[in-house]
Amino acid sequence: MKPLKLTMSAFGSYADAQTIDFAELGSGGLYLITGETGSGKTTIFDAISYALFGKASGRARDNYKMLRSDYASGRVKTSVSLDFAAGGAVYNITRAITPHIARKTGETTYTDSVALTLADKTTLDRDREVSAKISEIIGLDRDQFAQIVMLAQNDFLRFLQSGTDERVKILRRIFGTGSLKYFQETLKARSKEASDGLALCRRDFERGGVDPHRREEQFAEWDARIKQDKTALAEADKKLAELDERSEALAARTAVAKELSKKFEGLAATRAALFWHAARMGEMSRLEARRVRGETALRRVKPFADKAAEAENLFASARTELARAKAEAEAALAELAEAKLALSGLPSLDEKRTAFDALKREGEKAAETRGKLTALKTEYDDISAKRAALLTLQKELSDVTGVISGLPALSGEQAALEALKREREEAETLRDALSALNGDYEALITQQARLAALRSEFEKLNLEFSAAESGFNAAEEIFLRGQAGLLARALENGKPCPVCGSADHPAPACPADGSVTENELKKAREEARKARKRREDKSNECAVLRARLDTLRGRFLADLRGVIPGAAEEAGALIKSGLSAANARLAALTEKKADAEKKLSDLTEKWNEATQRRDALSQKRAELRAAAETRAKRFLADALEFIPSGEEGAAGERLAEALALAQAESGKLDARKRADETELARLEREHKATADRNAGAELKNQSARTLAAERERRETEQREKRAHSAEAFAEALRTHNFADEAEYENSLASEEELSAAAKRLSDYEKEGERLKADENRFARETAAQEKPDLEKLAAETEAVNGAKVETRGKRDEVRSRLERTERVYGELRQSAARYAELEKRYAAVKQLSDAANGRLDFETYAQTAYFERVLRAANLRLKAMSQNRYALLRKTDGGDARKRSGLELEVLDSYTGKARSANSLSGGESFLASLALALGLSDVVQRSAGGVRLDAMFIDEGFGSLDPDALELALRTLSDMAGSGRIIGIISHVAELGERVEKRLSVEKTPSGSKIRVI
Amino acid sequence: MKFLHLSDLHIGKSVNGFSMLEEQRHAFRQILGYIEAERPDAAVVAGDVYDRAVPGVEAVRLFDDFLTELSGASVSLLLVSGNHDSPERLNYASRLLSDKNIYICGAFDGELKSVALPDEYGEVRFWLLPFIKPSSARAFFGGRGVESYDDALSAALQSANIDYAARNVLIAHQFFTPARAQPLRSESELSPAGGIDAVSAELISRFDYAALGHLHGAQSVGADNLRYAGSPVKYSLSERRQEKSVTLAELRKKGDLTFAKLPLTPIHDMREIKGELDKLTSREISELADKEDYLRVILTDERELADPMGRLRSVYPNVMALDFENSRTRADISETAGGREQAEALSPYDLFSEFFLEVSGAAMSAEQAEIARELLESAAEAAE
Repeated sequence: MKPLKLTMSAFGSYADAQTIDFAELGSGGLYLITGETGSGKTTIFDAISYALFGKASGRARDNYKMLRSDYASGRVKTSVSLDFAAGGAVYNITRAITPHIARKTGETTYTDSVALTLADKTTLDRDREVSAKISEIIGLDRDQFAQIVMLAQNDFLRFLQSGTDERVKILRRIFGTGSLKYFQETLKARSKEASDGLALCRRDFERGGVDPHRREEQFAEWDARIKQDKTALAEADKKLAELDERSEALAARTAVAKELSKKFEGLAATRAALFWHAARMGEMSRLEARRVRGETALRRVKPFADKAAEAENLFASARTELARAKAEAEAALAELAEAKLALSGLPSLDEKRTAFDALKREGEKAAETRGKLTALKTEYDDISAKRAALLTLQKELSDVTGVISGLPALSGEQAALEALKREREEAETLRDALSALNGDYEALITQQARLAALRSEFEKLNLEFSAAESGFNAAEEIFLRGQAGLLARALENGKPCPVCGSADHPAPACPADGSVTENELKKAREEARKARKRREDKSNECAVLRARLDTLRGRFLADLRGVIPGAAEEAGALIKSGLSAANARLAALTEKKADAEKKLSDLTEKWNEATQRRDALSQKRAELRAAAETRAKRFLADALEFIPSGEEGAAGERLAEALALAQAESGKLDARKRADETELARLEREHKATADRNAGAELKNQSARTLAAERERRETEQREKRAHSAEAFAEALRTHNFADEAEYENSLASEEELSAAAKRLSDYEKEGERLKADENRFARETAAQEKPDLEKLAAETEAVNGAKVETRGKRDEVRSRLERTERVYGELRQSAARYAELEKRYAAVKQLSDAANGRLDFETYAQTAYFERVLRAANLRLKAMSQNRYALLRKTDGGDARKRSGLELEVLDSYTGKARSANSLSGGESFLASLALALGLSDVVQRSAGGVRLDAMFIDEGFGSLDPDALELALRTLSDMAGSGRIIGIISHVAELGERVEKRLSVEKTPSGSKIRVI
Repeated sequence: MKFLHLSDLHIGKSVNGFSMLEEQRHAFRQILGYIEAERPDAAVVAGDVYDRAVPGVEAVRLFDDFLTELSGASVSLLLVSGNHDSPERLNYASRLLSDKNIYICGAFDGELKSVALPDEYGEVRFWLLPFIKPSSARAFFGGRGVESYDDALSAALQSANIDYAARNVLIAHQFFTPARAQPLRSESELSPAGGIDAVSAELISRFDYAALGHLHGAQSVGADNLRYAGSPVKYSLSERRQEKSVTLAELRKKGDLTFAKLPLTPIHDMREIKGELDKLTSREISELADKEDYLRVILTDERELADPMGRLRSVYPNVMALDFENSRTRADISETAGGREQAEALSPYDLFSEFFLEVSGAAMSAEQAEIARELLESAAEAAE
């Protein structure tokens, strides 16, 4: 299986779709996946594992909710799509997790989907189909894959450090030894089956009382017994049939006899009944007579009787009513008289009314007075208050005026300030002048110094110049002498000298000591010239400066004299001290001025404030005063009534007194008024009530009288009617021959009684006829016959039945015995047959089962064999990676069979020659061992599983625990393994690997999910 | 122009857990001695200065000392990075150091740097080419299809427009091979995982001298002017037979090149001994040579040994590796070779036959065989 392209969307730390094209990483070799912690490196392996098998790589990462990316919004589908090649064909498998958000509750549920596209473009999308197909294509299931192809983080140690049980499980899954175990179990089951079968057979024999060894004899015995029983059975059956026939015949005869007997009995009974019937005739005729009479009374006479009774009733009621009406009329009359009397007894209403009105008017007046007084009093109080306020105001005003007078005069202060200001200005001017002067002086000094410097420089240059000049001269001399010397050398006595022309050369020049070339001379000349120029330049500079200096001095002296007349130049030194003094004074004055200014402003403020206040108060006072006066005047005018002129002082008390009086008076009047009011009301009510009563009584009287008259009329009417109906009744009695009313009463019968009587009579007749008919019939039927003897017949029947029962019982016994015997016999025969076969079978299977399930069982044996192979393959690699130091061994100690069955791992350290437990390896060593084991497993699986080719491998971390040498070896081993046909992917954060491994996938964390880049 | 050619210093390297720092220091002292004696104009270091991209503290200190001493000896130093170095880290302060006649080229930036040094015949141009991989070259010459190391190297060299008429010396760190012969290789050289690193030596044949680094054994590549100086210290047991040296090259007029190998002696040598444990740890044998040498020991004892490493280390404290050669190991090898065929899948039936034979001492009867076969088949089916 080689992955070609992986695309992940909303998976793990990848928000949007990220694609890895494995083709970019080449067809063989190692590649490295790097990135920060948590960026999503392991997620890539998870994706591959998930795509293929629907589960993530390590055990802890299985929950697919954990696989969904947190960066993806709730609606985005998580999906992983993997293109891979296996067995020469290219496949694609895509898995997706789709969220569904329930609209009502907002809960999210997830559905998975999977689609596997085969090389011929068909698609499988059912989970189980896909799993099966993947296992087929890749040749590994998920567990094998996880153990061999994908070494997940922290998981690789599992196989190395697990115990035998765990290892057994893992090996079983990987090498499919489960079927061998199943085989073992089956053998055991078969063996048990056979054993059970044998036991069953034996038990059957026991039950049947068969001694397995004497079988045949016993079987023969039984045969004979069976034959016997069969014969007996046949005989019994025959007998039974005979008896049945006989009993049937008897039964028929009995039935006939019974019938005839019944008929004889019937005849006798009918004859008796007829006799009694005749006896009742007399009674019946009497009944008839009574009936006729009763009918007459009921139908002819009763109506009249009823009518008469009714008329009587009506009359009686009319009479009672009349009496009642009369009584009522009388009562009404009495009442009327009473009411009239009451009315006349009441006192007069009008008088009372007038008195009340008068009282009301008085009360009003009193209230008015009281009101007036109250108002006056309020006014008075008000005015007094205002007067008091005025006094306080006055006091305030005088206070303020006092304050104002206390303030010092502004003008004085102002003048002082002015003086100060002027002084300060003067000081400032002085200071400025001094300052300028100081500046000038300093400039002067500086320039003087500079001039001195320049002068010294000039001196120096001058010296230089002289030196150069003399040097030049010397050189020139030498040169010339040299020239001369040269020339002199050429001099020959007698030949003219080229210089002077003389032919006599008394003293030819000697060449000078030292020679000077023309160049050197030129140089010296140049030097001298340069020196001279420099000196001249410098001299000019000095002159310039001196001129400037003179100007400066002139200016300075002029200024100085301006300030200090007649001062000499030396006074310049004093300027500085003068300047500092001036500065100090200026500063002092400035401060003083500031103080004075502040003081002045404060004072001004205070003054303004006070003046303002005073003015305000003044005004207020004036207002108040005016108002108070006007009101006081008005008040006095109003109160004249109560406060006579001249008593103004006591106005307050007077007012109070008057007010109190008025209040009391007013109160009293009010009380009286209220009392009268109630009284009046009551009287009015009484009048009204009495009047009403009167009217009512009148009406009642009227109606009573009318009613009485009516009743009387009715009574008379009814009386007449009664008389009529009595007469009619009497007539009826006579017509129908009733002697008197009493007889009539007696004869009267109700309808029911009449009809009952009629029915009885008719029934009697009918009975008579019926009986006669029966008699005739019976007589006919029994003519010329004899009465049968039933008892004899019954006895016979019983005897036959008894015989039958006995025979049947016997027969049944024999039959059941026979059945039983036959059955048992049959079974035993079968058992015997099986037994022989089973014996043989059992022997064979038991041996197999014992072998397979012995202390060393078959599966373990097989696993051990595989395990050994795995270890061998692993050791090849481990030796390489540990430089021949370590080898993995299967632990072998204990007894013979045990020795071959352990799956414990030990590590042999060739440096010490000792073996120790695999758990004692260090982290790095464990990793190497695990890696070697995984590679070994991979090798063995590929060899034994035939078509499985593992073209890719994934290792997640573990390299961090290796030192550089070990890392090197591990990489080399993996590199060799990868060769050119396999790609091995490594996740590691070890920096060194980044340098060593060429091809890299970088996973970068960004705020919006991780991104993958191929480097 | 006389210059010293060294390479593959691997400062800070440990071999089998033993730090080689002291050996390196010792070698450097000898090199400085040679410089003082021979007074070359320049010293050339052709890569793998450090052993790791981020070297340890001691390593950095040692290199610092070495560099300072070199500079004090007024020798121009030219240095390139190798495949073990981190190019950027080695490049640190290179521009500043160039003022002091120390020319370091760590990272390749698309342009081949050169330094011209004068001698009495004119100028010799030294070309500094640090270790490059196709991926690094691709970034600069990408459009021209750079796939292999050959492509990368030729692209880099072409871009420099070298005037081969003048005298040129190349300083490079790659794996050059001549067309025919296989070069001498040792375990301690790294090959990049997942790639072929060989470059044809044709590409550099026109240089007057190529001062190369990468292979740890001093050797020429085809022609004498293309030389690997080799590592100054033995860095793996596979180098134990080599003689370590630095190369002193002298280039006069064009075409007139001579070189000599200046030998370096280690503090402790690296060698291999073989024999039985008792013999090897006995006085006579151990006194024969320096007991503190770095050893690979091959034990030939037939019997099981208790704590062989402990006993060896008590006599030879610097035992690096331990191997065994006895009849068992020989059997193992053949077993693994033979075992491969044998380990083909045994069918469950065969497996069971063997198993039965072993457990019960006899073969199965015909009937039993039949039962076993049938059940195994059904078990296999049931398991699916």
